[in-house]
Amino acid sequence: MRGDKGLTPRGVAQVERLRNRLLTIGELASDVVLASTLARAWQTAEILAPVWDSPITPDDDLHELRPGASDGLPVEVARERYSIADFAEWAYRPKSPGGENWGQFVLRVGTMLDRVTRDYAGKTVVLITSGGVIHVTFLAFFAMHTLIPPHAWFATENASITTWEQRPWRNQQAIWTLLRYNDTSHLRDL
Amino acid sequence: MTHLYLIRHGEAYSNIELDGSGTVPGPRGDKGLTPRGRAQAERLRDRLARTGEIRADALLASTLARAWQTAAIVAPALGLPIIPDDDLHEMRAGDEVDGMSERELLERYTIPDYRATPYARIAPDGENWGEFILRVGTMLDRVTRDYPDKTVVLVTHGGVIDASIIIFFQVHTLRVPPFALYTHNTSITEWELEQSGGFHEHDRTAGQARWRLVHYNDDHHIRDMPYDAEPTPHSAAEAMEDENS
Repeated sequence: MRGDKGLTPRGVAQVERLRNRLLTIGELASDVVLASTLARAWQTAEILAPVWDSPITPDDDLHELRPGASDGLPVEVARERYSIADFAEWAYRPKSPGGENWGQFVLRVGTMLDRVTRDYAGKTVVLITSGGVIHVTFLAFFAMHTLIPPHAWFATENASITTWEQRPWRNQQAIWTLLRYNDTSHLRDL
Repeated sequence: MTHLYLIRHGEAYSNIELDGSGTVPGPRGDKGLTPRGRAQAERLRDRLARTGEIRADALLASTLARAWQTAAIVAPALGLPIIPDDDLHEMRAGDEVDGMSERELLERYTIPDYRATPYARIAPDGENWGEFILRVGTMLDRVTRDYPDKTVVLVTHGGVIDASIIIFFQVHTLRVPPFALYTHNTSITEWELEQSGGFHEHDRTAGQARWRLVHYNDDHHIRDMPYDAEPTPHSAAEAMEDENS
C-alpha cells in the first residue's frame, strides 16, 4: 500500500521497549518470524530483528484490511469521497473501490492462519502485523460469525503481544487456546 | 465509561489436588488458597498498591473460599470493602456433592464431557453449561446496570472469566465453544463499556454501548514465580473436570 508513512518517534520507542523486553527475558523463543510488508509493520520487524536468529519473512497476507482506491489519500478526503455509511453494511462493502470488504478480509486472514499453522506445525511463529489481523484471530479461533463485525470490540495497543497456542485436547482434535491478549507490560510507564 | 476488572483467585488446593485427594470445591468443600496462592495474591496486592492502575469504585467477590481469601488479601490495595456475590461462583457441581471427596464423587457420579453433552450435570441440583453461562450473563448485566460509569473489580473464577468472553463476544452459549482459555491464578482481565463513536456521523452504531476487551490474562506480577501446574487449556467445563477429578 502506498499511504503507510510508517512509525512515529513514539512508535519507534514502543517497539524498542518491546525489543529490550524480549531480549532481556527471552520469553518469545521463536522458530519463524513473519511480518506484514506495510511500512509500519515492516519497520517494527526491523527494530525487533535482533531478538531472533532467524531472518524475517515478508508476508503480504499479514496486511491490515486493504482500503482500495482511498489508499494514500488524506483521511478526511477519503471519508468524504468514499463515505462508509454504516458499520453493519460495511461487511459487504469495501472502504473504497478495489478494497476488501469485511468478509473478504476475514477470509484472507483466516486462510493465512490456516496456512501458517500447517506450514509450521509444532513450531513457535511470531507474526508482526496490524490490529485488524489480531482481531480476526479471535473470529477465526473462536469460530465467531465472519460476515458481520463482532458485537464486542478490542483495544489492541501498538507494540502489544497476543499469544495463541494450539494443542491436542484430550482425545479430541487440537484446539486453539488464548494465552494472553494485548500484553503491554513493557509500555506501562511510557 | 464502565470498567470491569475480572481477577481469578490464587492457586487453590482444588487446582493442585488432582489425584483424588481433594474435595468438591463448593461453598462447603473449598479448602481455599495454597501458600503459593496466597503469595500470588500478595504479589497482585503489591502491584496494585504500587501502580494505582485500578481506581475501583466497588469490589465484589465470589464467596467460595479460594476467591474470598484472594479478595481479602487484595482489598487493602483498593481501599474498599468486599461485597459478597454468590453469582460470581464457579460452575456449580451441586449441593449434593459439595465437599464430597473426589474419590467418592468419581465412584458415585459421572463427570459429563460438557463438549459432547452440554445439557448434562454432575448432580441433579448442579448447573449444566447453559445454566452456568446464563447465570454469569445475568450477573454481568446486573453489575453493569448497578454501577454505570464506575470501575468494578470482580474476584472470581476461571469459568466466569471464560463466560465473560463468550457472553460479550456473543459466542453460542448452549454449547462449549471450540476454543480454550487458560486464565492464570490472580491474573487480570479487563473490559470497558464504551459509547461507540461510529465510523461516520450517519453510522447507525454511533452512540451504542459496546464492550471492548482491553486485556486478557495479565499476570506479569507473577511471571517470575514458579508455576507448577502444567498450563492445560482451560474452560469452565474443563475446570469442573479438573477440580472434580
